[in-house]
Amino acid sequence: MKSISLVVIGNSHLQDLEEAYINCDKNKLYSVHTSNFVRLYENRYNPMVSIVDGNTLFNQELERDILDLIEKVKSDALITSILGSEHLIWSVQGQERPFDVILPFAPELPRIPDTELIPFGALYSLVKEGIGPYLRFNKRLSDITSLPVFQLLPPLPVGSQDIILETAPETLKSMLLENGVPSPIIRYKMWRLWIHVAEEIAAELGVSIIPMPEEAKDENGLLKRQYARDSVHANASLGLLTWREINAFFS
Amino acid sequence: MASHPYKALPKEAFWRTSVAEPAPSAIDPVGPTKFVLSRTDKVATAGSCFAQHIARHLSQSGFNYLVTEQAHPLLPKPIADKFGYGLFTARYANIYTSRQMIQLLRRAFGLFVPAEDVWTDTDGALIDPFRPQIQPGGFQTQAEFDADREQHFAAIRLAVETLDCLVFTLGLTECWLSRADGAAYPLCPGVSGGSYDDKRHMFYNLNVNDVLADLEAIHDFVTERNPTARFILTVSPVPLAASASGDHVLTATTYSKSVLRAAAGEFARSRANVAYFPSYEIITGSFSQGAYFEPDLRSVTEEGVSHVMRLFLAHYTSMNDEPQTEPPSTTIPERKAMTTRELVAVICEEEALQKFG
Repeated sequence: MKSISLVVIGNSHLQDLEEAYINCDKNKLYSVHTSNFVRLYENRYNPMVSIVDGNTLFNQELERDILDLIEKVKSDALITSILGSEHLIWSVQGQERPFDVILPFAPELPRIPDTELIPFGALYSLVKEGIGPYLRFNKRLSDITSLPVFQLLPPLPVGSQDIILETAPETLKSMLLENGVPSPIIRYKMWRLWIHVAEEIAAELGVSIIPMPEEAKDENGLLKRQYARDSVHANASLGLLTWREINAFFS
Repeated sequence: MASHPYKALPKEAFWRTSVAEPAPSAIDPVGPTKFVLSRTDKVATAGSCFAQHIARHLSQSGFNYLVTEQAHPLLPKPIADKFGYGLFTARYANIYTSRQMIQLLRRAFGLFVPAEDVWTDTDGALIDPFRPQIQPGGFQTQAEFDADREQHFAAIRLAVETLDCLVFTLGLTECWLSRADGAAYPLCPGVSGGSYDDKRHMFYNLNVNDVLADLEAIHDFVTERNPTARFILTVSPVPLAASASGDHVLTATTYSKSVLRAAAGEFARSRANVAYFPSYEIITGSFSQGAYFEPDLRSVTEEGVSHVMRLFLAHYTSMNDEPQTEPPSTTIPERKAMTTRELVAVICEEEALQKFG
């Protein structure tokens, strides 16, 4: 079987993939692909996106580096893991006035008692304006590289409440201590909204989404504790499961 | 020379000395005020488009502008504005007629449930007939529609029970009613959601007695629940955009504004806790020679609004005499927290940089 060359581009959620890639049993994984990584959180790629006179512009150095790498490794396809933590941040920021939202695409999710209802349309606009310009980088990539682009979505929110406070950096910890840890249900709803907007944009741009590993879900549909690195990131164990999905996608 | 009452009148009683001769910006038709508002008095607003100007200036002028249905802090101002937050005390959007106002109060307290209570647009989204433009894209589910309305009504009840003064701007007399139960829509069905059906809907032009009866009902409804509430009535100077009366729109506008002015003045005269404020006169008075209207001859210029609010603050507040302390705020504070992007950078990028940099 021909081994596929991938360039994997991502923000902080790249960590679990990169760690799993470096540390895994290469015989099991590398028969399908080889991967090289572009870390969007590196300082020289900041800002990744600029809006100038209403036009979205992407970091030129980033584009050059990606094109150079693609040429060097003769890449067959690109995998992206862009952004992915905003749903937790919004959940935490929103705790100063505990809130709820009714998701039209997930009406079965329960209402959260003693919370303020935010109109779905308003939160949808917040998410779309927040992540949309960045996710459109997927289209920019396919335009400048002529390669197929496949998108990974951020991991499920972790079921455990404890890990949120335990692993939070100081800036987040002070907010969590003041207003409390957002409940699993609101963290899940905000994650679902993030995913919904991302899937809409991907469909509009013709970008394929690689499915999430089902076995990482606990009985409540949240991320099992064993796969969580911290409040919002997954660890290399989930990274390994994700590579299996990627391999299955390309097999 | 024989004596008569006009000899003892102040100069404000005479056109030449108080309208024709002074500079336009110096014109002050307010007259004696019945009461004065302090910086701590909770001031609620409701009414037509012009009332939005009043709300905005009250908020910016250090008044304790009462907002009981605030945008959640997560929502940036442009999104909050699009969803009608902060335009008025609660998210009821424009209330054009006195009929709409008393019905809103009754609905909020569970005393009136209109027969035609929800519209469905072609995309399946739900529209509130009494706030047809409040939710861009409509409400996506019945559950959201119902929950939002419950939250909205709770905010109105809180406003009624806690306000110290309600500033109500009367806009129109022409309205569209449900034939089933007289429910008054802010817009003709079909204009922004819903569909017009002559069997279900009818045109009605409120007359002076109608508006007087509505004002009395509004006053009594609020004071029954909030005995110390005061009211300031004002008439919007904005002409009708269109008239369904059969009259020329200019003639229809004069009728509407005359009815509203007469009713507001008459009602204010009859109640110690109700004052009339002459926004209409300030904007439309001949002294400004139309300068307070934009070229479309409908929109009021910021200069005109400033003249109105300058006189409002001068006559109805004691702010200049009180110590300069921060008024209690029921408005949304400026967000000082880190932006989402900054927080993501902190919890994600910086940590990842440390690991792989």
